[in-house]
Parts: sequence; C-alpha cells; structure tokens
Amino acid sequence: MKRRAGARPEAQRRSEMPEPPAMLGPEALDQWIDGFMADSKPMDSIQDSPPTADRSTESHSNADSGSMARTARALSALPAMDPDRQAAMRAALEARFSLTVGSPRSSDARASADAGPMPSRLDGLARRLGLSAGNLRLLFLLLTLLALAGLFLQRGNPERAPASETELGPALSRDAIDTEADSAAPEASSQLQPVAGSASPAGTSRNSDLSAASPASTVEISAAASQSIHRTPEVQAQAADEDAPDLPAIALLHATAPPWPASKVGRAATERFSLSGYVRDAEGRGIADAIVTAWRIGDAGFFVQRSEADGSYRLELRAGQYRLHAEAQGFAENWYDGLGGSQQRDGARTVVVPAVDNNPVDFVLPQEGGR
Amino acid sequence: MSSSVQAAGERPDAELVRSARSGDARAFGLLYERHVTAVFRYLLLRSADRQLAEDLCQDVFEGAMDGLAGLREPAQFRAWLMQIAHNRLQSHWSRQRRRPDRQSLEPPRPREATTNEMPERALESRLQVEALMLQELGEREQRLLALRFGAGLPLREIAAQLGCSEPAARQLQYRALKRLRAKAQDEGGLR
Repeated sequence: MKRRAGARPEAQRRSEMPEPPAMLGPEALDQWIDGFMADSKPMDSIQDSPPTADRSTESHSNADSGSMARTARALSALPAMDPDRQAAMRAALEARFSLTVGSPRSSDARASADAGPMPSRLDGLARRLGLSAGNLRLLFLLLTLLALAGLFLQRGNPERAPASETELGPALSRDAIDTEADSAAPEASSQLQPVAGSASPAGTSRNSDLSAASPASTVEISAAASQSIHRTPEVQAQAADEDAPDLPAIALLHATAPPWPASKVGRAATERFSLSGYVRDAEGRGIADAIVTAWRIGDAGFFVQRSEADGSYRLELRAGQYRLHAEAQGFAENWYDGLGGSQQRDGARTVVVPAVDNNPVDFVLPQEGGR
Repeated sequence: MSSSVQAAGERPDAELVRSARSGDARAFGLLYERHVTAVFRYLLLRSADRQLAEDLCQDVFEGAMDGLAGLREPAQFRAWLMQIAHNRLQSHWSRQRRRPDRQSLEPPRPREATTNEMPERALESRLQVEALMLQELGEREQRLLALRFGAGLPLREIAAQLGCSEPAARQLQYRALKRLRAKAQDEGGLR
C-alpha cells in the first residue's frame, strides 16, 4: 500500500496515538474516542493500524476494546468533499444569498464586513432585548411610522398600495393581512389568495407555487387571536392597543418605507403564527419528545419542534402553506392528512397559515413495525 | 476529527449568523466553509452515496439560508445544521420510498481492496462497506455514529439532538459500536 507524500512514519504516528481503554466501559471508550477525534489527522493510509489492545490480562475485555477502537477509527476515516465541487457550491450559495437575502445591500455588507461586527450600541441593545439587530432596526422604524401615521390608521380599512410579495414573505398577502385585521372568519377563507401582479421578480415563482396548490386539499387552521393561532409576543408588543389594526400599519410600512431588501432574512420573518396540536399513539396517549416538522411549500423553509410530556406541541410559523410531519422513537412516521395520517409525503394535506378553521393539528402515530 | 472546530481568533458562529441575517453574504460563506465538511461526512456515512451526499449538502445549506431567521439560538448553528441534514436525508428517503439499495452495491472484501486497487478507490469501497454496516443499526444508533464520527460532534451535542442525556448517549454509542463490530466481524466488513 502506497503512502501519500508527506505522511509521517507509521512508528511515530502509532506512538502518538492514544491507547484504547484497558477496561471495557462506555465512559472510558468515549473518553478515548474524544482523544483520538481531537488529535487525529486525515488518514494517510488505509492500512493505518489501531492502537494495540494488550495491556490487560483480561484478554476478552481488551479484544472488545481494541476491536471497538478499530471500528471507531474506521468510521472516522472519511473523505472530504471534492474541493472543486465545494468551491463551486460556495459560489452558488453566495450568489443565491445575494439574490434572495441581501441583494441591495450585499455590496455594503461586504464593504462593512471588514470593519467588524454591527455597531456595539445597537448590538448590545439588541442582545438585551433578545432580538437581532435587524429586527431591532425594523422595530424602531415601525414605532416611528405608527406615531406619524395615527390619523391614517383611524380611517379603518384604507386603500393600501400593493405590497411586494417578497417583502412580506413568500405567502403573506394583503388579503391575509385583511383577514387578521378583520377577524372575520367566513370572509377570510375566500380572501386568502396569493398576491397577484407582484412587482418583484423573485416572488413570481413563489406565487406560482402557491397558486398551483389544489384548493380541494387545503386545510385552513384556526385563525387570529383566540385559540390555536395568535401573534407572537414581539408582534403584539408593537400594536398601540389590541384593537389597533397593526397589520395595516405593517402594510403601510411597506408601502411608504424605503424598499427593504426582498425576502430579507430576519425581516420577512417578523410575523409569526402559532400552530398547535397533539402527537398521540393509537390508544390516545400523548407521545413525549416527538419531532414535529412543518415543511413550507414553495421554498426550502421548515420549522421543527418537540412535543411536551403530554404530547402537545406548538410551532411558530411564518405565513405560508405547509406539510406537517411527525416522528417519534418506536413509532412510524406520519404526515398530516386531516384523517388518520399518511406514511407517505404525497398523501399529506396542505396546511395554510394563518387560516380560519378551528381544528388543532393532531397526529396519531402507529407503532413502529417491520423495521 | 472535528471539522467544525473554530480556530482561535475566528468569529464565533453566533456572530456570523447575526451578520448573515443582516445581509452579509460573506458571513454565510464563512459558515459554509466551517461546517460543510461535517455535514458532508455525516450525509456520506449515512447514505453510502457520495453524489447524494454532495447534492443533499447543497440542499442543507440552501435550507439553512432560507430558515436562518427561524434559528432562535445562533450559537447552536452547527447542531441546527445537522438537524437540517437529518431531515433532508429523511425526506429524500421518503421520496425514494426505500433506503439505499444494498443489492446494487458490491463492495469487494476489504483485504482484496487494499492490495489490488488504488488507495482512493479502496477507501471508497471500504466506506461503502462501513455505511452498509451502519444500515444494520437502528435509526438512533445510525444518527449517533454518523454525528460522532462523520460530523465530529461532541457527545453532549449529539445527546441534545437525540433528546437524551449524555450518559444515555454514551451507552448508546458503546452498544452501537459493539453491534457494528460484531456485524462487521460476521460479514468481513470493517477491519
């Protein structure tokens, strides 16, 4: 077996390798693994021998230790990605990042990147409030515009300029805003439509994804303030009072404010809606630590949450259409279909957030079998 | 071999995430460079398919880019990324409606591979054997070993991902390695 150029002599490397634990035991083995994982270099030869396991008179225990050590080392000897492919992938990601996240400001961001992190005062305040600096800036702007636009808001349901679909996020339309502001359940379902004629080219494909969703399969979930769906605390805090139509204020913001970068990460995600339910077994008992995933349709976004001890869960989702999935150890995975659940993704129903029906999203996971 | 170890003087993940949220493409690129190897190796060890691992790796980072606002703890970026990788892989398998086809792979016996083939091909073949061996374990054991040895995550982070305590994860690791070793000895896989 050839050695690659630059490899150290095997005797030297072997003398530097940590010895496996003399006695069998999970903790000792783990400590040994930590040691070799921290110190190990890329394997120069696949014939590299593991540490010898011959220090104890209990040969059976040491044979186990040694063989498990060899197994661990074998698993860690993995190749890296092809460098050209890795570089190409990075270039593609950065290009996509510029288009979808920071396009108008990406050049400014690069110019300021070398200057260091965000201004310390703003950053410090953001940390104290538990917000990102971007969200904090948006909050300041919202409060300023609310103060200036008081008379305008009192008109009730004014004509609003079309909001760019990408400024509001993939599926948050004006009509969805109207739905929330009016809290009118019967009208809301008919008003929940994708934005038409959005100006931003980046939003076009997302609109087409939404319009392609079958209306018959759409399940609308409880809306607005009362039950399963409600605003996140940070959005609630922005309203002057509970009855104030803060959503129109957001629409006003987008109509009159400087054009924030389309679909800016952290800005478009300000608006969140809760989706909740239970994960239960066939006998109706709650399943703890089940993983519930909401996969957003139209882009690669998703949200994950674990269920509580009683099987309950709550997801904080951006507006959009989702397919919901639950899995738990010892149970078969399950896609929400509004009925008994489906084990195939294709059988999942589309869940619209926010929506108007008053049904929590519950899962019933069958016992795992045949695995 | 923790490929996501942050060198002294480098900006921490939390800071890079916040910069990326503000529109800094370079910050996201740095996060990519820091964690791509761990993600790739995790996917490689679980899928036994290099091409698939590369494709899913790109999916993972695109998903991370889009979902960056949903990350509540920027300091946990790596763990969050590995969760995305796991979910992407599960989705791929769900779409495929099957696990990697074992019968389509015919890895040579390791002894022959090391004497008759080029080192890179032999390593690839051995990787296939190891990954196939891994398929014999349960889901949690596979995830644990792939996160531990593929991504190089410490056990406490893996325990958090699996939703168990660190001692429990240590026990799981021990049993998984033991079973894997027994399986390999039976079938002449790992050396």
